[in-house]
Amino acid sequence: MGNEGVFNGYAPNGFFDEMFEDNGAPRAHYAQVLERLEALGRKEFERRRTLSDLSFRNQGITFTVYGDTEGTERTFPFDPVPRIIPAQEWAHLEKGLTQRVLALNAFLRDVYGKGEILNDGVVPRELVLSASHFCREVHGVNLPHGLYTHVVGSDLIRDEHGTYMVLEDNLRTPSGVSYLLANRVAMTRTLPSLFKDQGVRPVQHYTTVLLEVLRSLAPRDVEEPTIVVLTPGMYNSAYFEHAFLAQQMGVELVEGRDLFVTEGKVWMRTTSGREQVDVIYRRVDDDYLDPLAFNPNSSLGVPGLLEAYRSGRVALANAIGAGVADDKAIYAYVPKMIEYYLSERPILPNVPTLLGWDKEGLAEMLSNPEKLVIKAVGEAGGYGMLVGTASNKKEITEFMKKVEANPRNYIGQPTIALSRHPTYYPDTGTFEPCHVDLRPYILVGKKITIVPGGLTRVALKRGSLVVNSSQGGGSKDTWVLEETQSGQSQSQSQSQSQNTGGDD
Amino acid sequence: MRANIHHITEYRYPEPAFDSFNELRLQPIEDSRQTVLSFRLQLEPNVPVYSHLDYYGTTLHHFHVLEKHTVLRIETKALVVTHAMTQPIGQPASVLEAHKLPNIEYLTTSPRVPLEFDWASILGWHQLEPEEDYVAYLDGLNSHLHSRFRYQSGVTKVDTPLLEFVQGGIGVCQDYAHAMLAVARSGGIPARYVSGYVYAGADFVGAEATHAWLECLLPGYGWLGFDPTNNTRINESHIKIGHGRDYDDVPPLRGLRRGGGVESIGVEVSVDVQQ
Repeated sequence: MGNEGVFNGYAPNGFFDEMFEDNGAPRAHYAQVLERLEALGRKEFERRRTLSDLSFRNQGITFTVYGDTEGTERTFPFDPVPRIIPAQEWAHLEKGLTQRVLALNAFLRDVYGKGEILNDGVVPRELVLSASHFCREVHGVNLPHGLYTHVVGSDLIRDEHGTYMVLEDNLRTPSGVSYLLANRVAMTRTLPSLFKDQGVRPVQHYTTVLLEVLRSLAPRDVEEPTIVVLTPGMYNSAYFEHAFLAQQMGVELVEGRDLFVTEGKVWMRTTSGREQVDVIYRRVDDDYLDPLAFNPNSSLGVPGLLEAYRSGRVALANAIGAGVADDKAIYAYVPKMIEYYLSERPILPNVPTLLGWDKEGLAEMLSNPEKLVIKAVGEAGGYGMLVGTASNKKEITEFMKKVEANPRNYIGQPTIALSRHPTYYPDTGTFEPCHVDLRPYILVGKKITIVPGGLTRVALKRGSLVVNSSQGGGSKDTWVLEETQSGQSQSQSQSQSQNTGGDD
Repeated sequence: MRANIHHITEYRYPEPAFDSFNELRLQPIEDSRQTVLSFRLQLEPNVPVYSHLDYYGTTLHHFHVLEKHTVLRIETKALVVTHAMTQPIGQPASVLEAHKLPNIEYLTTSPRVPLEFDWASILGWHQLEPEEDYVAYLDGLNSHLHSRFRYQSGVTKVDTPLLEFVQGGIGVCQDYAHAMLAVARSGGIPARYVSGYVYAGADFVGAEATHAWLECLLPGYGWLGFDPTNNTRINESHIKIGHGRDYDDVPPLRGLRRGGGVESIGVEVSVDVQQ
């Protein structure tokens, strides 16, 4: 880089940087992109960035922040410097994630069936039976292909050595894939020249594969099964995504009131009469799906839906009750599930986790809260958590009172120095390092498909470790490169994946 | 005992009701203590009924009335033989240790039986000691609660919190059962809620509708039933429908409908002994 360089003054500073080595030299798989950004110059880059921003706003690509008094809809800040993952590194992640979702589905089949893993004492029965998302109403129900989670979003992070770890699994209604797809479109429009000769693997087949998976669940043997996307409505934080996916798949976007149950079947009201529904891609939580079986105050659901589902006349993706396996206390046992069901060693390690349920874990949490990240087990979206290093005494004391009152409901994890990635800050006009994570989207049907990459989320608040969009995060386009890369980048990523694979 | 159960629930609506979904848990369970000779369910309007066993092994019937109706009548007839059971001998509470984990579901907090309170003290009863005979403890508790509470319907509702009932001291069989469950579980005794019928000939309270009691685990014996409402252990007069952690797992009837206005409900239960 010359003195005029776009990345002048940028330093990894002891964190693992996705783009630069510790000595400041760019990593091989970023070399060309870096060169082209340098050639573009700061001014032109800023101009293009402003255009992409405008395009997001004009397209209405937004999310909703709960509990915010100043208007609830926001655009999701997009940073047009791509995060790049070399082929070998991705192959390792793909293998690890595939292994993980196979084990998670086996676990769900088991706990809603014979419960062998509980009888064998590998996963504590108490944890499962006390999990708020363990759903007794679907015990013993037979599901198409025996699958419980068809769309999975597992969050991956890298520590200061660059080792990939799974932070959590989202098995209920993971969101964010629409941003992944929108980011790629924005990226190709904003900075098309960056893609040249890079062999960036495509992601746009996501909705086609999702539709295939949903279709494969259809209980009726008909040529064109009716598939719908069920949304809680326009006030939900991911409403844009629900509409987007329905439109991309060419299926109806419906709310609970558009559906009804008679004769044990689910029907959709249409302008030309009723139409039988075969598969529901539901983005409504279990509790709100059927007011008869679950929360009687829910107006989002469809009365009688559970019985239609139980008798196999309609399929739901994801299945009811899948949330028991993404309870953050049960998450701690996923490596054991992999060994138990697959007789394999876990490829991707978990983040070390203390359980409030366990006496020693609770004692450790209570004595060192300022060093830990403490989370409620059933929450998502960065709600209900304490980042000890970034909280004051009062906040910690308040939070730990809740932990003491209900220890089962909390876990503690060490504060991981998440890897960082250069991110453009319009206020200073420079690139600054921001912590990032990666949420790949895993589609599980007769076979498992993971669109290359995932959603890279960026903690835009300076120094923050929380990447959730609801907590002020942004995102990046994520590139996975084709196998045919320069020899240098291949050998480097190979050693990377060996490091990662051996560490657990 | 050969018990003939006849149960009629009738909803009358001032305006037409429609799109009515209902779940029933009214069929007595088949177990070592009782044999079900027959069970019949009759509905008006006459719509198809489906059934399955739920998570706890209780038969659940469900049906849907789409058309407009002003009366919904649910009539069941069951013929059940209950068998006399030998009574268990006392056991020290410590024998339960090995049986806690497999029965953890009946030891932990459930939606209607929260365990964050010191229930024994609140109810003026002593804590269970490790070497104490816990069958005697439960018999004592059963009598204690019976004399502490007053049975009267209309004071508590289905969703009255346990603490509120315990403070007021007036309620019905399900409140009694929840209160005893709370003390038993707090003492480390696996205990489950039971829904069923009781034969009125024995001068028992709770015969005018479905009844509720609880069962506690005795390793080597099985589940021993206690009926704090009637100050007795379960006997041949009790006909069990099913069990769960608390009321929510075995409600006799749960439904959801459109229209209808403010309904009036008539319930008639008769349990007769057949010679």
